[in-house]
Amino acid sequence: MSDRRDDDALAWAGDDDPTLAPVGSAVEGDEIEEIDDASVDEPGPAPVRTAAPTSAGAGRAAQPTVLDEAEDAEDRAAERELAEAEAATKQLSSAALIGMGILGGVYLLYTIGWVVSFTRYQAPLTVDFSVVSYRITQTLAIAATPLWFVATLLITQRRDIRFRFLWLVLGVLVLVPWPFLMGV
Amino acid sequence: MGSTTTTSTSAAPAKRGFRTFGASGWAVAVIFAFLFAYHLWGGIANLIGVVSTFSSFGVAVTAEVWALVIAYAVAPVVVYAAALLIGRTLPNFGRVVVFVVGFAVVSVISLDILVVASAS
Repeated sequence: MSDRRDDDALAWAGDDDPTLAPVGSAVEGDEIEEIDDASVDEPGPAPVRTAAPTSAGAGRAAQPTVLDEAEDAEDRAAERELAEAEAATKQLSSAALIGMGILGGVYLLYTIGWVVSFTRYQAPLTVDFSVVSYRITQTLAIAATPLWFVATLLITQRRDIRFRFLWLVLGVLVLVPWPFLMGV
Repeated sequence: MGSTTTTSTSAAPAKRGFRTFGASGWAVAVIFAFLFAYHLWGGIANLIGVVSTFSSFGVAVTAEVWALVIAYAVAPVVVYAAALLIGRTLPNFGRVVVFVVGFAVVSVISLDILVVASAS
């Protein structure tokens, strides 16, 4: 018994070339059956089957065609993408959460320290531009701590959590409210 | 404008180096350079004022005072350079955020130096 396609009256040479059928398009009934057979027969990702076909049709279905390989590659890519997305959106571990809370508390205390330093200021009798400039600087210093915290979370959002902690710890070192601690 | 859009789209955020800045990235850098110049101007004014005050009293400027005054003047430049370096792998919005934080951090460093100077 020869290939069914050879019996078809209206068969074109190269009609069964799998690369001609674009992925996701509606293919002919024969093609669909062949694809299904192939995917059922071959559970492994890269099946290497020795050529021992009982019939010509079965042998043709058993061979991993280019279309099969393309679909396998697409599946693997989709799985990898899914795994990456899951890794990216997974929740923080408990230790990371506690560490974040501690650092957030430190940043809050720093902000309060800068605010207290701002309120301790006693304006001189003559207000000139240097005084205004000093007040601007103090206001910016208050804003620096929350800005650093929010910006770190914003920018390291898609990166490894180590970067987040690194930058937050760096901020703890940089943003110490020395004027508050030294009583100014 | 065509060249601007092509440079901004070809700028892959993961690529390192300053070629990825594009016209808009450099525009952000220049705008913040003017803002940081405010701090730099204050630092230079302080340097000149301190040195002239010391000389008017006929007192030699000590090494500690030089260090504090120069640090006060140089802090904006250092922070600007750091912000430019940090922002080079980021998209433009990230660069703006980094520059804003840097602008505020210059104030923090300035006040730290001032309180150290007044305590010493």
